[in-house]
Amino acid sequence: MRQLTFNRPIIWQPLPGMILSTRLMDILWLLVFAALLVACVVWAVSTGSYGLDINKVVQALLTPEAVPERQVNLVWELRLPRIMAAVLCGAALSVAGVIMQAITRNPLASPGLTGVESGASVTLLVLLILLPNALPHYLLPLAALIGGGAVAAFVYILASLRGFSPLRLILVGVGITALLSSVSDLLITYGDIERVESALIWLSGSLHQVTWPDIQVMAWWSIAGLLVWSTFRTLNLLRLGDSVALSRGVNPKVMIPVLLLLAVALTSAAVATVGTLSFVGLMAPHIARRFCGDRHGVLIPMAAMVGGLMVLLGDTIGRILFAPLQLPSGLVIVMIGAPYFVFLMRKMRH
Amino acid sequence: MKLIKYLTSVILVCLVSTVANAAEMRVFENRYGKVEVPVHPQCVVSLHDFSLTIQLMELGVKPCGSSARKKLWQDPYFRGAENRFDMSNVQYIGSHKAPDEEAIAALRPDLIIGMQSQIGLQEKLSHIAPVVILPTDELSIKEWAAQLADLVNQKGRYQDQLKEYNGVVSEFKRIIPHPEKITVTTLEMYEDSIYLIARGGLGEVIKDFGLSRPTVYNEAKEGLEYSLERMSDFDADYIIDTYEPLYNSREATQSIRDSKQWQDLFAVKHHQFLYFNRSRYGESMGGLIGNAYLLNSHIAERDRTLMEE
Repeated sequence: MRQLTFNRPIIWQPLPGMILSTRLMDILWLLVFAALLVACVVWAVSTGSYGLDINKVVQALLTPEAVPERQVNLVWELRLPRIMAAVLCGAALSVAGVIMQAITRNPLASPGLTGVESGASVTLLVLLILLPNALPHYLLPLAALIGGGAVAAFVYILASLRGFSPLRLILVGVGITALLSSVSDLLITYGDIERVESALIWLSGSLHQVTWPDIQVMAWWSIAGLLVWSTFRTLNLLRLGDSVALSRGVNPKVMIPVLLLLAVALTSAAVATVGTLSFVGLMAPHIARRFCGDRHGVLIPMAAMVGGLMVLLGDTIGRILFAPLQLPSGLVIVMIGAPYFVFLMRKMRH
Repeated sequence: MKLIKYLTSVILVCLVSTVANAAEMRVFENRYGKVEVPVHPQCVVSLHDFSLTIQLMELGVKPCGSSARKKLWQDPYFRGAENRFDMSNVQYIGSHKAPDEEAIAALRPDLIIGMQSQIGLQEKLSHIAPVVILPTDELSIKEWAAQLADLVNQKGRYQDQLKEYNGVVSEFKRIIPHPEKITVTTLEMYEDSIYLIARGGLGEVIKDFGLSRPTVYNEAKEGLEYSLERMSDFDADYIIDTYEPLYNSREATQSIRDSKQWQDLFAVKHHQFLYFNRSRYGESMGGLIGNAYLLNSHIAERDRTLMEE
């Protein structure tokens, strides 16, 4: 009886014209993950090499004039930008992963596997290693978007030559990713050693250089995530196949490129801000799915929170575990996340 | 009683002057703009151990924090400085590519100094203390070291170093009036490849001495990996390999040194292959001076055979 109550659908309207059907259980899990995210943010903002107790942190946040400027700067300029970047980029990569898995109907799909992330990262590697002064910092996400978008368009065109096939999209994506990774290797092997060293740290997913202007840019790009959420019904239908989607008024030929573009925008912005964190786009949607299934109205916000949580945990652990030695968050995420992911997946039947 | 009063006033004057010195600011300007820096910095953080930290120590300024090399569960290693100076009170602040900003902030520095490749760190670290980036990639060691000396108020010590270096260069040119007739290749040898490279001050000293490079060396790209089959292309009157004392590179490359291609090289045949410590003579004025003395001894102050002859 209790189970039935928890699983009874609740229909509500989060945005005008957007009808969302959720269950009490979904709302509870969303609240749990939101609470976890808030707890993790509080932990991250009060932890670091500079000993600062939570009272000082709260004071620095609420009444900055009452604490020394150094401590205010520490909280506002060093810790908060990293935290915000971790949450925003983790969420963006995770939502991009949800899109890729939905439109390809393949649980292995992620921005990393379909060439999008490689396109964005190779573009940035070219800019970092070969043309370091070509673009101002705030235009890097746009450059990554163009690179990622070009690769995504190329992969999509190749996958659609004889009618769109999700499997072909993945296979072409894998091929293009392999090609682009050889370009990355070439740049890394023969590039200027100092620039390559910086690029390698960025490639492994590092947030130590993130500043507020980066967050502003990332926040604008994150609007794409809200657009994705507004298309949850389309994603639900696309997962059931093209014919079902068409019969319910969703044209895959129009919606798949649109959704792909949104995935590219989210991935490129995240890659430009924190580097490549491929595992997040694959893993976070699967973890979220364990709690809410494939209903994208709930899956998208939950996956966003899981993604944000993963990157935030990875970055915070990376900066305190062997401090002052800083471990790239991408490394920590894979080291901690992969075993947990395997543990979760072993319970799945398919 | 008078003595106590006198001592108290002396101590007070000293304290006041120290505080005044610490607070006194000036504007330092280079190609990266103007930065307000303390005239007498009390706690300098160096973002690069192998160049900036060594040069600071040579100038008599002990940084309160510096980047270093570190492996997990091992002590940090201040490359190039570790074996020359007492680094016990120099706080490790992380790697030069990803320093721990909070560890830097905890030191309460009044000046942070970085290299050109660390320009991306400037904005964020400037919330902790004034950050000066030195144009280390564009300027010679002598030129950026002059900026560093100016920054930490140690121009006198720098002038002594420069004078010593220029003295060795003059001496070399006096003994060898036509240094351009002597060719030198600098490389790093690994188990399966060679890299053309002139780390530290070596390349700068070779240039200042007026020595030549083999024609093919000038056309080749420094820092690129070359096949061992191309070893003979880079043959010269002198071949200089450098080694890192932390690793047994000599043992690791012994089979190459035993090979016929290696033994047939002109420089090897005529015992003009030199093997220098890469970390001892790093990117500092001391590194330049050390390399200058080494080259002077090995090239100018002993008998030699030249390919041309």
